[in-house]
Amino acid sequence: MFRSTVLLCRRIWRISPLSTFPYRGRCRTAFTFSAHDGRAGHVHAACPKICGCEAYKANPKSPGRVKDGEILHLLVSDPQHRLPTGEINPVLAEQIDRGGLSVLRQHAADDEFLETIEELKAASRGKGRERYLHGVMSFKASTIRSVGSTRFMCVYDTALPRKPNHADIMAPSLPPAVSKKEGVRAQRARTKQLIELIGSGFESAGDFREGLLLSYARPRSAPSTGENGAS
Amino acid sequence: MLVLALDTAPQPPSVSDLLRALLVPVEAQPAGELGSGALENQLRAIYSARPAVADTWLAETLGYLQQCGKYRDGWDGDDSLAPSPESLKTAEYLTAFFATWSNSRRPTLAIDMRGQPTFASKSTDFYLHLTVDGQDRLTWYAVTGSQEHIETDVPFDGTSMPPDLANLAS
Repeated sequence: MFRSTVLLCRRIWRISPLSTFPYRGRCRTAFTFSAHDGRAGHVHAACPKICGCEAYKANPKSPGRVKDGEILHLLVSDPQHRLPTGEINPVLAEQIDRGGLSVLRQHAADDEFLETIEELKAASRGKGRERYLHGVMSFKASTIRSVGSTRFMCVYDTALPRKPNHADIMAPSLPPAVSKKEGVRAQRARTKQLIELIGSGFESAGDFREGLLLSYARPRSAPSTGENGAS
Repeated sequence: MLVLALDTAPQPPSVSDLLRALLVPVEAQPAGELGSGALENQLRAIYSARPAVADTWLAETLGYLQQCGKYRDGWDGDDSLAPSPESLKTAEYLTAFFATWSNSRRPTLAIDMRGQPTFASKSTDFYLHLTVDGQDRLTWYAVTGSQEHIETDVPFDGTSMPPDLANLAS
Protein backbone atom coordinates (compact mmCIF):
# COMPACT_ATOMS: atom_id res chain seq x y z
CA MET A 1 0.00 0.00 0.00
CA PHE A 2 2.75 2.39 1.03
CA ARG A 3 4.82 1.48 -2.04
CA SER A 4 1.95 2.04 -4.48
CA THR A 5 1.20 5.39 -2.88
CA VAL A 6 4.82 6.45 -3.32
CA LEU A 7 4.78 5.35 -6.96
CA LEU A 8 1.54 7.23 -7.57
CA CYS A 9 2.94 10.39 -5.99
CA ARG A 10 6.08 10.06 -8.10
CA ARG A 11 4.02 9.76 -11.30
CA ILE A 12 1.94 12.78 -10.41
CA TRP A 13 5.11 14.76 -9.67
CA ARG A 14 6.69 13.79 -12.98
CA ILE A 15 3.75 15.09 -15.04
CA SER A 16 3.25 18.22 -12.99
CA PRO A 17 4.64 21.49 -14.40
CA LEU A 18 6.48 22.07 -11.12
CA SER A 19 8.73 19.06 -11.64
CA THR A 20 10.12 20.52 -14.88
CA PHE A 21 10.60 24.00 -13.47
CA PRO A 22 14.34 23.77 -12.67
CA TYR A 23 15.13 22.40 -16.12
CA ARG A 24 13.24 25.15 -17.90
CA GLY A 25 15.42 27.74 -16.19
CA ARG A 26 18.59 25.79 -16.89
CA CYS A 27 17.65 25.33 -20.55
CA ARG A 28 16.89 29.01 -21.01
CA THR A 29 20.23 29.90 -19.45
CA ALA A 30 22.04 27.38 -21.64
CA PHE A 31 20.45 28.84 -24.79
CA THR A 32 22.08 32.20 -23.99
CA PHE A 33 25.61 30.83 -24.37
CA SER A 34 27.53 31.61 -27.55
CA ALA A 35 28.95 29.08 -29.99
CA HIS A 36 32.41 30.05 -28.76
CA ASP A 37 31.41 29.08 -25.21
CA GLY A 38 30.10 25.68 -26.25
CA ARG A 39 26.38 26.44 -26.43
CA ALA A 40 25.40 22.98 -27.67
CA GLY A 41 27.22 21.30 -24.80
CA HIS A 42 25.58 23.56 -22.22
CA VAL A 43 22.12 22.88 -23.64
CA HIS A 44 22.75 19.15 -23.64
CA ALA A 45 23.95 19.25 -20.01
CA ALA A 46 21.02 21.38 -18.84
CA CYS A 47 18.60 18.48 -18.74
CA PRO A 48 19.21 14.84 -17.78
CA LYS A 49 17.08 13.52 -20.63
CA ILE A 50 18.53 13.51 -24.17
CA CYS A 51 17.19 16.58 -25.99
CA GLY A 52 15.29 17.38 -22.79
CA CYS A 53 15.36 21.12 -23.50
CA GLU A 54 13.07 20.49 -26.50
CA ALA A 55 10.19 20.64 -24.02
CA TYR A 56 10.82 24.28 -23.11
CA LYS A 57 10.46 27.58 -24.87
CA ALA A 58 13.53 29.78 -25.07
CA ASN A 59 11.23 32.78 -25.15
CA PRO A 60 7.73 33.14 -23.67
CA LYS A 61 6.44 34.48 -27.01
CA SER A 62 7.42 31.40 -28.98
CA PRO A 63 4.72 29.33 -30.69
CA GLY A 64 5.79 26.27 -28.68
CA ARG A 65 7.71 23.04 -29.07
CA VAL A 66 8.85 22.18 -32.60
CA LYS A 67 6.58 19.38 -33.82
CA ASP A 68 7.89 16.38 -35.74
CA GLY A 69 5.85 17.19 -38.82
CA GLU A 70 7.06 20.77 -39.11
CA ILE A 71 9.15 21.83 -42.10
CA LEU A 72 12.39 23.59 -41.19
CA HIS A 73 14.05 26.12 -43.48
CA LEU A 74 17.82 26.60 -43.56
CA LEU A 75 19.04 29.75 -45.28
CA VAL A 76 22.10 29.18 -47.45
CA SER A 77 24.04 32.31 -48.29
CA ASP A 78 26.69 30.88 -50.51
CA PRO A 79 26.90 28.36 -53.36
CA GLN A 80 29.99 26.90 -51.65
CA HIS A 81 27.71 25.68 -48.90
CA ARG A 82 25.98 23.21 -51.14
CA LEU A 83 27.97 20.27 -52.45
CA PRO A 84 27.58 19.21 -56.09
CA THR A 85 25.15 16.52 -54.84
CA GLY A 86 22.84 19.31 -53.66
CA GLU A 87 23.43 18.44 -50.00
CA ILE A 88 24.80 20.92 -47.46
CA ASN A 89 28.51 21.39 -46.88
CA PRO A 90 29.93 19.98 -43.61
CA VAL A 91 30.96 23.51 -42.55
CA LEU A 92 27.25 24.22 -42.12
CA ALA A 93 26.28 20.88 -40.64
CA GLU A 94 29.03 20.84 -38.02
CA GLN A 95 27.47 23.84 -36.27
CA ILE A 96 25.30 21.26 -34.47
CA ASP A 97 28.25 20.72 -32.13
CA ARG A 98 28.83 24.42 -31.40
CA GLY A 99 26.22 27.15 -31.49
CA GLY A 100 23.53 25.15 -33.25
CA LEU A 101 22.35 25.09 -36.84
CA SER A 102 19.94 27.97 -37.12
CA VAL A 103 16.64 27.47 -38.98
CA LEU A 104 13.24 29.10 -39.40
CA ARG A 105 10.12 27.06 -38.79
CA GLN A 106 7.37 26.26 -41.26
CA HIS A 107 4.99 28.96 -40.05
CA ALA A 108 7.57 31.74 -39.98
CA ALA A 109 6.16 34.93 -41.47
CA ASP A 110 7.76 36.48 -44.52
CA ASP A 111 9.03 39.28 -42.29
CA GLU A 112 11.01 36.78 -40.22
CA PHE A 113 12.93 35.68 -43.31
CA LEU A 114 13.57 39.26 -44.34
CA GLU A 115 14.65 40.17 -40.82
CA THR A 116 17.05 37.22 -40.72
CA ILE A 117 18.74 38.11 -43.99
CA GLU A 118 19.04 41.77 -43.04
CA GLU A 119 20.68 40.76 -39.76
CA LEU A 120 23.11 38.47 -41.57
CA LYS A 121 24.03 41.20 -44.02
CA ALA A 122 24.53 43.71 -41.22
CA ALA A 123 26.71 41.28 -39.26
CA SER A 124 29.03 40.74 -42.24
CA ARG A 125 29.24 44.40 -43.22
CA GLY A 126 32.74 45.78 -42.89
CA LYS A 127 34.16 42.30 -42.25
CA GLY A 128 35.39 41.69 -45.78
CA ARG A 129 32.42 39.66 -46.88
CA GLU A 130 29.47 40.65 -49.01
CA ARG A 131 26.53 38.48 -48.14
CA TYR A 132 23.81 37.34 -50.50
CA LEU A 133 21.19 34.61 -50.33
CA HIS A 134 21.80 31.54 -52.44
CA GLY A 135 18.60 29.74 -51.46
CA VAL A 136 16.72 27.77 -48.83
CA MET A 137 17.05 24.10 -47.87
CA SER A 138 13.84 22.62 -46.45
CA PHE A 139 13.30 19.38 -44.52
CA LYS A 140 11.01 17.86 -41.91
CA ALA A 141 12.01 17.96 -38.24
CA SER A 142 11.20 14.27 -37.90
CA THR A 143 13.80 13.29 -40.51
CA ILE A 144 16.66 14.41 -38.29
CA ARG A 145 15.24 13.92 -34.80
CA SER A 146 15.50 10.16 -34.76
CA VAL A 147 17.14 7.38 -36.71
CA GLY A 148 15.03 4.31 -36.13
CA SER A 149 14.19 4.40 -32.45
CA THR A 150 17.38 6.28 -31.49
CA ARG A 151 17.42 10.01 -30.90
CA PHE A 152 19.78 11.71 -33.37
CA MET A 153 19.39 15.49 -33.40
CA CYS A 154 17.61 17.86 -31.04
CA VAL A 155 15.42 20.58 -32.54
CA TYR A 156 14.96 23.34 -29.99
CA ASP A 157 12.43 26.12 -29.99
CA THR A 158 14.77 29.11 -29.70
CA ALA A 159 12.39 31.96 -30.50
CA LEU A 160 13.98 35.39 -30.78
CA PRO A 161 12.31 38.77 -30.17
CA ARG A 162 11.45 39.50 -33.82
CA LYS A 163 11.75 35.92 -34.99
CA PRO A 164 9.34 33.83 -32.91
CA ASN A 165 9.66 30.93 -35.35
CA HIS A 166 13.39 30.59 -34.92
CA ALA A 167 14.76 27.14 -33.99
CA ASP A 168 18.17 25.56 -33.50
CA ILE A 169 19.35 22.09 -34.38
CA MET A 170 21.94 20.77 -31.94
CA ALA A 171 23.55 17.41 -31.42
CA PRO A 172 23.56 15.55 -28.14
CA SER A 173 27.06 15.33 -26.66
CA LEU A 174 28.98 12.28 -27.83
CA PRO A 175 30.33 9.82 -25.28
CA PRO A 176 33.93 10.57 -24.20
CA ALA A 177 36.30 9.29 -26.89
CA VAL A 178 39.27 7.05 -26.13
CA SER A 179 41.50 9.16 -28.38
CA LYS A 180 41.44 12.41 -30.34
CA LYS A 181 41.26 10.45 -33.58
CA GLU A 182 38.23 8.48 -32.40
CA GLY A 183 36.54 11.69 -31.24
CA VAL A 184 37.03 13.36 -34.63
CA ARG A 185 35.83 10.20 -36.39
CA ALA A 186 32.62 10.01 -34.36
CA GLN A 187 31.88 13.71 -34.81
CA ARG A 188 32.51 13.79 -38.55
CA ALA A 189 30.65 10.54 -39.18
CA ARG A 190 27.64 12.06 -37.43
CA THR A 191 27.97 15.23 -39.51
CA LYS A 192 27.94 13.10 -42.67
CA GLN A 193 24.82 11.29 -41.50
CA LEU A 194 23.06 14.59 -40.82
CA ILE A 195 23.95 15.87 -44.29
CA GLU A 196 22.35 12.76 -45.79
CA LEU A 197 19.23 13.02 -43.63
CA ILE A 198 18.69 16.69 -44.50
CA GLY A 199 18.92 15.71 -48.15
CA SER A 200 18.87 18.08 -51.09
CA GLY A 201 15.48 19.80 -50.96
CA PHE A 202 16.38 23.28 -52.17
CA GLU A 203 14.72 26.35 -53.60
CA SER A 204 16.75 29.21 -55.01
CA ALA A 205 16.38 32.73 -53.61
CA GLY A 206 14.20 33.56 -56.61
CA ASP A 207 11.88 30.56 -56.20
CA PHE A 208 11.30 30.49 -52.45
CA ARG A 209 7.86 31.80 -51.44
CA GLU A 210 7.20 33.14 -54.91
CA GLY A 211 10.29 35.30 -55.11
CA LEU A 212 10.08 36.85 -51.65
CA LEU A 213 13.86 36.81 -51.31
CA LEU A 214 14.84 37.43 -54.93
CA SER A 215 16.33 40.85 -54.20
CA TYR A 216 18.91 39.19 -51.92
CA ALA A 217 20.20 36.82 -54.60
CA ARG A 218 23.75 37.24 -55.77
CA PRO A 219 24.00 39.40 -58.91
CA ARG A 220 25.44 37.45 -61.81
CA SER A 221 28.49 39.72 -61.92
CA ALA A 222 29.34 39.35 -58.22
CA PRO A 223 32.14 36.94 -57.25
CA SER A 224 31.02 33.67 -55.72
CA THR A 225 31.96 33.81 -52.06
CA GLY A 226 30.45 33.95 -48.62
CA GLU A 227 28.74 31.67 -46.19
CA ASN A 228 25.65 30.32 -44.56
CA GLY A 229 23.31 30.85 -41.76
CA ALA A 230 19.91 31.70 -40.46
CA SER A 231 20.44 33.29 -37.13
CA MET B 1 65.49 62.15 -41.63
CA LEU B 2 63.11 59.46 -42.72
CA VAL B 3 64.38 57.18 -45.44
CA LEU B 4 62.07 54.80 -47.20
CA ALA B 5 63.75 51.80 -48.69
CA LEU B 6 61.65 50.26 -51.41
CA ASP B 7 62.17 46.63 -52.18
CA THR B 8 62.23 46.55 -55.95
CA ALA B 9 63.30 42.94 -56.23
CA PRO B 10 60.76 40.95 -58.28
CA GLN B 11 58.48 38.83 -56.12
CA PRO B 12 58.09 35.16 -57.00
CA PRO B 13 54.64 34.29 -58.33
CA SER B 14 52.19 32.85 -55.81
CA VAL B 15 50.71 29.39 -56.21
CA SER B 16 47.43 31.03 -57.22
CA ASP B 17 49.18 33.07 -59.91
CA LEU B 18 50.76 29.96 -61.32
CA LEU B 19 47.53 27.99 -61.21
CA ARG B 20 45.66 30.82 -62.93
CA ALA B 21 48.29 30.89 -65.62
CA LEU B 22 47.87 27.16 -66.02
CA LEU B 23 44.17 27.67 -66.70
CA VAL B 24 45.39 28.79 -70.11
CA PRO B 25 46.46 25.71 -72.09
CA VAL B 26 50.11 25.10 -71.37
CA GLU B 27 51.02 24.80 -75.05
CA ALA B 28 49.53 28.25 -75.70
CA GLN B 29 51.93 29.94 -73.29
CA PRO B 30 55.35 31.12 -74.38
CA ALA B 31 58.27 29.54 -72.57
CA GLY B 32 59.07 31.29 -69.31
CA GLU B 33 55.66 33.01 -69.17
CA LEU B 34 54.94 31.58 -65.74
CA GLY B 35 58.24 32.59 -64.23
CA SER B 36 60.76 29.99 -63.25
CA GLY B 37 61.72 27.77 -60.41
CA ALA B 38 60.96 24.48 -58.81
CA LEU B 39 57.42 25.41 -57.81
CA GLU B 40 56.40 26.17 -61.39
CA ASN B 41 57.91 22.93 -62.61
CA GLN B 42 56.12 21.07 -59.84
CA LEU B 43 52.77 22.67 -60.66
CA ARG B 44 53.26 22.05 -64.37
CA ALA B 45 54.01 18.39 -63.61
CA ILE B 46 50.97 18.09 -61.37
CA TYR B 47 48.65 19.87 -63.71
CA SER B 48 49.84 18.34 -66.95
CA ALA B 49 48.00 15.19 -65.88
CA ARG B 50 44.77 17.01 -66.78
CA PRO B 51 43.79 19.29 -69.63
CA ALA B 52 43.94 22.88 -68.41
CA VAL B 53 41.05 24.15 -70.48
CA ALA B 54 37.84 25.63 -69.04
CA ASP B 55 38.54 24.38 -65.53
CA THR B 56 35.57 25.87 -63.71
CA TRP B 57 36.36 24.15 -60.41
CA LEU B 58 39.87 25.58 -60.30
CA ALA B 59 38.81 29.07 -61.32
CA GLU B 60 36.02 29.12 -58.69
CA THR B 61 38.23 27.72 -55.94
CA LEU B 62 40.98 30.26 -56.59
CA GLY B 63 38.44 33.08 -56.74
CA TYR B 64 36.96 31.97 -53.44
CA LEU B 65 40.41 31.77 -51.83
CA GLN B 66 41.12 35.31 -52.93
CA GLN B 67 37.87 36.55 -51.37
CA CYS B 68 38.55 34.68 -48.12
CA GLY B 69 41.77 36.61 -47.71
CA LYS B 70 39.65 39.72 -47.08
CA TYR B 71 37.62 38.19 -44.26
CA ARG B 72 37.92 39.78 -40.83
CA ASP B 73 36.90 38.33 -37.46
CA GLY B 74 33.10 38.37 -37.29
CA TRP B 75 32.66 37.78 -41.05
CA ASP B 76 29.95 35.19 -40.30
CA GLY B 77 28.63 36.57 -37.03
CA ASP B 78 30.21 37.43 -33.70
CA ASP B 79 31.66 33.99 -33.09
CA SER B 80 33.38 33.59 -36.45
CA LEU B 81 37.13 33.92 -36.88
CA ALA B 82 38.93 35.04 -40.01
CA PRO B 83 41.18 32.50 -41.73
CA SER B 84 44.88 33.14 -41.19
CA PRO B 85 47.07 33.94 -44.21
CA GLU B 86 49.09 30.83 -43.41
CA SER B 87 46.08 28.53 -43.49
CA LEU B 88 44.94 30.06 -46.79
CA LYS B 89 48.39 29.47 -48.22
CA THR B 90 48.13 25.82 -47.19
CA ALA B 91 44.69 25.66 -48.82
CA GLU B 92 46.21 27.11 -51.96
CA TYR B 93 48.82 24.36 -52.12
CA LEU B 94 46.16 21.73 -51.48
CA THR B 95 44.11 23.18 -54.33
CA ALA B 96 47.03 22.54 -56.66
CA PHE B 97 47.03 18.88 -55.68
CA PHE B 98 43.25 18.47 -55.72
CA ALA B 99 43.28 19.88 -59.26
CA THR B 100 44.70 16.54 -60.38
CA TRP B 101 41.77 14.58 -58.93
CA SER B 102 38.83 13.42 -61.00
CA ASN B 103 35.87 15.82 -61.21
CA SER B 104 33.69 13.57 -59.07
CA ARG B 105 36.14 13.69 -56.17
CA ARG B 106 37.44 17.26 -56.37
CA PRO B 107 36.36 18.88 -53.11
CA THR B 108 34.49 22.12 -52.51
CA LEU B 109 36.38 24.71 -50.46
CA ALA B 110 34.66 26.67 -47.71
CA ILE B 111 35.75 28.42 -44.51
CA ASP B 112 34.30 27.28 -41.19
CA MET B 113 33.39 29.44 -38.21
CA ARG B 114 36.83 28.90 -36.66
CA GLY B 115 38.49 30.26 -39.78
CA GLN B 116 39.66 26.84 -40.93
CA PRO B 117 39.71 26.20 -44.68
CA THR B 118 37.64 23.07 -45.24
CA PHE B 119 37.54 20.85 -48.31
CA ALA B 120 34.48 18.63 -48.72
CA SER B 121 33.44 16.18 -51.40
CA LYS B 122 30.57 13.71 -51.65
CA SER B 123 29.34 11.20 -54.17
CA THR B 124 27.65 7.81 -53.97
CA ASP B 125 30.81 5.96 -52.94
CA PHE B 126 33.03 8.75 -51.68
CA TYR B 127 33.03 11.31 -48.89
CA LEU B 128 35.78 13.66 -47.75
CA HIS B 129 35.79 16.25 -44.96
CA LEU B 130 39.26 17.78 -44.64
CA THR B 131 40.27 20.76 -42.51
CA VAL B 132 43.44 22.81 -42.53
CA ASP B 133 44.43 23.06 -38.88
CA GLY B 134 46.80 25.99 -38.77
CA GLN B 135 49.62 26.48 -41.20
CA ASP B 136 50.85 22.99 -41.86
CA ARG B 137 48.53 20.42 -40.30
CA LEU B 138 45.65 18.54 -41.90
CA THR B 139 42.82 16.49 -40.41
CA TRP B 140 40.51 14.46 -42.59
CA TYR B 141 37.68 11.99 -42.39
CA ALA B 142 36.87 10.07 -45.54
CA VAL B 143 34.67 7.19 -46.60
CA THR B 144 35.42 5.12 -49.69
CA GLY B 145 32.82 2.49 -50.34
CA SER B 146 32.12 1.15 -46.85
CA GLN B 147 35.59 1.90 -45.46
CA GLU B 148 36.25 4.82 -43.13
CA HIS B 149 39.57 6.70 -43.10
CA ILE B 150 40.51 9.12 -40.34
CA GLU B 151 43.78 11.01 -39.91
CA THR B 152 44.50 13.88 -37.53
CA ASP B 153 47.32 16.43 -37.32
CA VAL B 154 49.06 15.20 -40.46
CA PRO B 155 52.03 17.44 -41.42
CA PHE B 156 51.77 19.11 -44.85
CA ASP B 157 54.39 21.52 -46.18
CA GLY B 158 52.99 21.90 -49.69
CA THR B 159 55.68 19.94 -51.47
CA SER B 160 53.76 16.69 -51.72
CA MET B 161 50.37 15.40 -50.72
CA PRO B 162 50.37 13.06 -47.70
CA PRO B 163 50.32 9.51 -49.15
CA ASP B 164 47.16 8.47 -47.26
CA LEU B 165 45.35 11.48 -48.71
CA ALA B 166 46.74 10.93 -52.19
CA ASN B 167 45.43 7.36 -52.04
CA LEU B 168 41.89 8.71 -51.82
CA ALA B 169 42.18 10.18 -55.32
CA SER B 170 40.94 7.02 -56.98
